Amino acid sequence: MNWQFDNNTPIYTQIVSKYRFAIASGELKPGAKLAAVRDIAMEAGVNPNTMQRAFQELERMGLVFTQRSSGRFVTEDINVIDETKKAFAGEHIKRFLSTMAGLGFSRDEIMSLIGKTMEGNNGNF
Amino acid sequence: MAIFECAEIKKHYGSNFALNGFSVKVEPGRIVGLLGPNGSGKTTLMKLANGLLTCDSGEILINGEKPGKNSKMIISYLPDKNYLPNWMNCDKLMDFFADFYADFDRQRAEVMLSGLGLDRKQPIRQMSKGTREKVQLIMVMSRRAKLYLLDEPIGGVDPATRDYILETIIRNYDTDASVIISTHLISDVEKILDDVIFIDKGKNVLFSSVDDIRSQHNRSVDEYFREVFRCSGSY
Amino acid sequence: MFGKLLKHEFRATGRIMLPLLGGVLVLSPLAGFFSKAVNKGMGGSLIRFFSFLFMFAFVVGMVAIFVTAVIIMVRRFYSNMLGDEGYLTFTLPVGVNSLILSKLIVSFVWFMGASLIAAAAGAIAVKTYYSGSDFSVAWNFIRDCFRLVGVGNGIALIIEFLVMLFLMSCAICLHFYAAMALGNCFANKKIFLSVCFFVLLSFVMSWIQFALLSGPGQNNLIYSVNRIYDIWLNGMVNEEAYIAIPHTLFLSGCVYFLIISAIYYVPTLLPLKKKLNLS
Repeated sequence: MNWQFDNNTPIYTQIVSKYRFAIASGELKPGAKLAAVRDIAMEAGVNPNTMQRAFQELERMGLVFTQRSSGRFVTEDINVIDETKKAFAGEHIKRFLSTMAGLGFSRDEIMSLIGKTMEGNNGNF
Repeated sequence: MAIFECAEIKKHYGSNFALNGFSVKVEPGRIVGLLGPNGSGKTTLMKLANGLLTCDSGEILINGEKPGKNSKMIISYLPDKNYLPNWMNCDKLMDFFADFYADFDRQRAEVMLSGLGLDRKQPIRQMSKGTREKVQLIMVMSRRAKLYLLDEPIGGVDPATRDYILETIIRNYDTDASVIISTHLISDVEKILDDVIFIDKGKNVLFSSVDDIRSQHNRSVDEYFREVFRCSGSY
Repeated sequence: MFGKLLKHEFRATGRIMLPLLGGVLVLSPLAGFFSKAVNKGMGGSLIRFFSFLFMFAFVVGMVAIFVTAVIIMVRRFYSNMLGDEGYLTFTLPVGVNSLILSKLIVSFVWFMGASLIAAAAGAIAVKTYYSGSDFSVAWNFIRDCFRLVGVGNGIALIIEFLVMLFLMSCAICLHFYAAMALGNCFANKKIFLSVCFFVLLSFVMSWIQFALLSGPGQNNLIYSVNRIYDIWLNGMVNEEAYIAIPHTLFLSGCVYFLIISAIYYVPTLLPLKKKLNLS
């Protein structure tokens, strides 16, 4: 996990984003056990309260759950993970389209550009 | 009950009011930054909390009690000074702290000191500045106190030492204790802070969580501080 | 907690005093031996050199233990309470009275220690020099004294004497402490002002002592002492009467030094409690 933070937004929201992405991408497997709040806070160099708040938010989102006396785990609910993946994609696409619109591209031009870029990389991206 | 509470404290030196009606309430379990320009009253506030000074008026309460023997038992203070006896070495220092403070965790101190790779028989006067600051911090953070008061703990040391110090603070404070850190180096410290107090000319001008400042103003505490204090012309 | 204060006071001061006391003790037989050797005409200039060296070191040492005891007493108070170390001292969970008292006790111990070591070292040096010297004269004298006054009285007198010495030591120390505490109240020229206060206190105290000891009519200590002596004497058989003298002397000495100490204690305590002015 990359623990770089920018100072202009609350740290806990940034931590929540990082975990959302890690879970959506499968970097953190469903059902994986998470380390104790204090240890992760130490590793990240942040206040344990901040880390705790982030996890509470992740729990509220249904991405992690706490099992009394066993600790915290990533959800095993594939649907939730899938939804998160789609949500992330949606957010990025919106941002991408907004930038492209700002540059003045039309819908067809955007699709064609995407196609060419992917081809140019032999179908990889 | 608030771990640290000030009600309209006033303290003057001669004709100068170091604290001019300062009030705040800090709950247990928070890491709080005390931020303000030079001469705003930060060090005076800490000395008052420690019973090294007495207020002219107003009230200061630590865990509901006035500064005295009981409050000294639960406060762990790191002044911005070389305050440890020069002739002592680490072993003797630990003996000293263990004897006077029931909450001193000797094992914790041993572990941290061994991490520094120090010669335990070396007296403090022979240590380099950075090492000395680390030793002082280790002694203070090895106490399981209810309130930690750190006066400029990261000033005057290199960035790696600063990281070490911040790490030590996070690692060692107990979650039902509070830490008050007074500092100029805001951008280094803000990622470990829960709340900040802006103090100016002896008054509390802002008491807010770091998250609130960032989400409301969309900038870091460091930048917001510059904004607030530029307008007031305190520099 | 007070015991811990004493322990650390001893540690802090003992690291200088103990080697010094030990050194003087070690030097004493050496000084005696080499002096005797010279006297007996043994060896040449080398022996003479060592004799001079050890005798010189011994004499210097004997003086040094007393001078050092005083210097340490002053320095310890100044650096531990009024210097940067004050940040550590005054945030300890102990009262200011305990801090002062622990220093008074430890200073007394070193004054006594210096005296005892000086006596012992002197005796050793003499014994080494005059190997036939017999301290039995001294022991016999002491034994006769005890026989004269009775063991009970003897022990009581020794205790009274020691208490009086302790209170006298407190008065001396507190004279210095008060001067330093008062001088420290100011922002600048602290040391200069401390010296001024020392002189001022001496002056004020000499007036008080004058009043205490020889004030007009019935308002003085000597008169009171005489009265106590007379009262005690009443109803005593002849030999017993003599006992009253040293008792009265020591006890009134205790009262006298207690009063002096109390007078110095106030300007020591108040600045530390109220106007503590660390850097």
